[in-house]
Amino acid sequence: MSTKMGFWRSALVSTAVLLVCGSAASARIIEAKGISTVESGAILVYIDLELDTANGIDTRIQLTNTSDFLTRVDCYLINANGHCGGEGGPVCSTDADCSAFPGLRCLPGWAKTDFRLTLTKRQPISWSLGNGLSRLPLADSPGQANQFNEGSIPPAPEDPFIGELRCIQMDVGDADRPSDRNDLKGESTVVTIVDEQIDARKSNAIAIKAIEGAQDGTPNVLNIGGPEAEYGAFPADGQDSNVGCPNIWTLNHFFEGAQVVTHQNTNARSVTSKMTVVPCGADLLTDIPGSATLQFLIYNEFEQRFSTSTRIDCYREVRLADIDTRPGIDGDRQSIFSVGTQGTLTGMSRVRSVSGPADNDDNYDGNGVLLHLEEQWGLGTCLGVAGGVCGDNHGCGPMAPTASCSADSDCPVGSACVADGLPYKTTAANVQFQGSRSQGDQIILP
Amino acid sequence: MGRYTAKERRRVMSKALGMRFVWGLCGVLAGVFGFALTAQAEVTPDTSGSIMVYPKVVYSDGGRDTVIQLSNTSNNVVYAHCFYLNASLLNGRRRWDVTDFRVVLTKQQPTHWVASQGRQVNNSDNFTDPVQDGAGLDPGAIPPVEEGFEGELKCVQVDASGTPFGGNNLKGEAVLVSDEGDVAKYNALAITANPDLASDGDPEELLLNNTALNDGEYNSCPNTILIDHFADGAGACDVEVEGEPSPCPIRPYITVVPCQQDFENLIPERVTVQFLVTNEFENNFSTSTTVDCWLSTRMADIDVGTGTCSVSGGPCAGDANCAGGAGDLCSKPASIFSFGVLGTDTAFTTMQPVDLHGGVIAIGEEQHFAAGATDSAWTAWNLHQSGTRYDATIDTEGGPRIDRIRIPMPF
Repeated sequence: MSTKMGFWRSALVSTAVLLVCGSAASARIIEAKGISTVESGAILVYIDLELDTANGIDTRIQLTNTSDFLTRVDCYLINANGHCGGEGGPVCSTDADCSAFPGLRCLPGWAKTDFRLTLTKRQPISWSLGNGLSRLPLADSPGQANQFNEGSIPPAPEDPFIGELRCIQMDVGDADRPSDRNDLKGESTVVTIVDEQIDARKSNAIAIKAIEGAQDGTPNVLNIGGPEAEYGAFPADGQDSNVGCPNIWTLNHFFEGAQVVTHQNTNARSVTSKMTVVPCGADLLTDIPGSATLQFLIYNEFEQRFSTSTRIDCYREVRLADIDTRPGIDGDRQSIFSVGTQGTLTGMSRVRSVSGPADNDDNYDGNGVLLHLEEQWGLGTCLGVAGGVCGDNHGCGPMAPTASCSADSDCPVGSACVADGLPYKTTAANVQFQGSRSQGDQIILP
Repeated sequence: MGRYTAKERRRVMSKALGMRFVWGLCGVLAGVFGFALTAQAEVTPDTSGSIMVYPKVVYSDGGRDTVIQLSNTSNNVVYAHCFYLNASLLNGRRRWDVTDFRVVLTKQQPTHWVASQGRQVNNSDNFTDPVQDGAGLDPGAIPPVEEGFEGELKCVQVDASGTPFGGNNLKGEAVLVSDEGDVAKYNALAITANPDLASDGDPEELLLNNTALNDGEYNSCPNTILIDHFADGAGACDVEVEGEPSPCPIRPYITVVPCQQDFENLIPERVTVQFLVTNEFENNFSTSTTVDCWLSTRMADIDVGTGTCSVSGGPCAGDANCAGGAGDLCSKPASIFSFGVLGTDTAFTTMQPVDLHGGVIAIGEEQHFAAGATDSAWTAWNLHQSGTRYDATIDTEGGPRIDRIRIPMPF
């Protein structure tokens, strides 16, 4: 009898608890998100890193501890340079860069350099990709909370360099365990200085959020979303599964070669766009780069829909027009990202990475990706063309009083785009996203 | 009196322990489920929403113009009611003139327009004529802004009748373009609606009170804006110009708009915000300012009015007061946002409204100068944020603070 009463009492209490808690936390989150570009997180991914000293390019990286506690950070600088003939060869981005080495092709690379550091209470730090930071600001004398900085930051291993940086918040007490706190935020600014000209673009690092208390007993395998989610978010009302990397990325962009006229029709600039994609997961233990197939749906301002697809391995920085045509300006006019094909200046592309194939049983084959968009606004003029630009992308029509080009493809066939100094100025934007997928992604640490 | 029997003591203890168990369990559950929810950004540039806020739209002849991009992310027709808020200075005060227009976007349709030119409804315009770049399904007649315009653009998703609708189908971007070719892009901030309640109550008054703790209409504005920025005057390079060191100085800027706005009565909102600045040595500084309907300022101007011209040496409020050529910039080394005070290249600044003042939305910009200030480049970026204004003031006397956007009544 007593046991029976105890059961009903427990059931009653449990119901009451759910009701009380439910009313107190009637969470009205419309859609839980596992990543953010404007919130602090536990894993930061800097996608837009570039170093090319010969051409005046370097990246300033900012990293901040937003909490009042000492924070330990493990970072992995991933070198995505291609090399002619593989590691040890000259740096290249396409096979054309290896034309001086007959028989060698440009092979993609993926090599990591890791470093550790601590950040004190609310401390920001910054460093340049080319120089690193051999001594952190509070390495010798403590801050107000009597905390010191530990560690140092190496410079990029190669010059030129393209790649990504991943920083993971670790447990202060146990340096080998990831932390479940979300205290890190970051930005990167790529600055180009050529002669007396300067260009800069800034974007936020993408933050992947840790789920408090969800870390399991395998500290070197970080589950982002999926059934055993440690990072991302629990589902909100209407979501079926834990939330990890986004399902779809939505890019608002100008079509390649678009002439954007501003200042009451007195100024025109040619715009091209570059997209950078990295896999959400990464195997930093065995240095096996992630890969994914990307499906694109492109809508122009007539609501007409086009589609294409491409594949990425480890890291891909690509002009939109080169997604469906060969690298370089050849074939740009046939691209579905070309303004000539689309007939309108702007479009919206939906990008989805294909999950699976389901060759594992743990549902960690999400193949999620992270995206970044860069725009190049031309400063050059087409050589030998009176009145400015009438590019082969673009057709020839009346020219705006001041027109520009950023590449030869913006000019008529046989004409070259020339610039006195920088050929274009750039700007960057974090890309928006939608939804989540039931499969997760994993970052495997050494 | 005052003494319990053993049975009564057991009953009281049992009740107390029981309640402690209940609240303890509550705490555990809230810890497990609540944290992830309360950590959500409520106003975000990452996803689509029902109110799009473009905090900075400018046009000046010889200065900068703004290209606006707006898209429908759904497969349904979407309507939006947009408002240009002209906050340019007139007799030393911010005007607060509102011009509104409607746009219609078909399934997944992107559109764009330039602030100085607007967009006509013209079925024969085409992209091959650069001065007629309106090819595409015109979303409606969009007026141009006047020369000297500076202010904000806000677009509210509505239904076909004009009633606010919480579809969360809009996304947008803005590109600030200088006539010399420099560009800076930021994402519009999306205020997400609670689809069940967005058009509840007074349809002309949109309540920004939806949070993890409250079932409201639209998501509450952030409580704290987090700004990682370069110190004003910090150098990005070390080169010499005519034998003198020229460090390519950097300047941080910020644009802030109040979340509460009354387009019906044209009552500008005032919000006092406090800044807490932490440098790389963990030293703290603070200041405050008042946002009167719209604020776009060099951060060093927040706490220091008069600086010194770097070449000619005279006093200055801005670069326009310095007549020593391109490299003669107005430096303000006494500002707590400057390298002269901070002593480090970067700083971490938090910005938060005081008391029960309303929330704010902000974007950041930086101006990077080449050596000798012969050229400069602007960057723009979306600022980090934490918390919500509603939840942060829920225990404050008179709270919680609910920001309201009142749109004009149809007549």
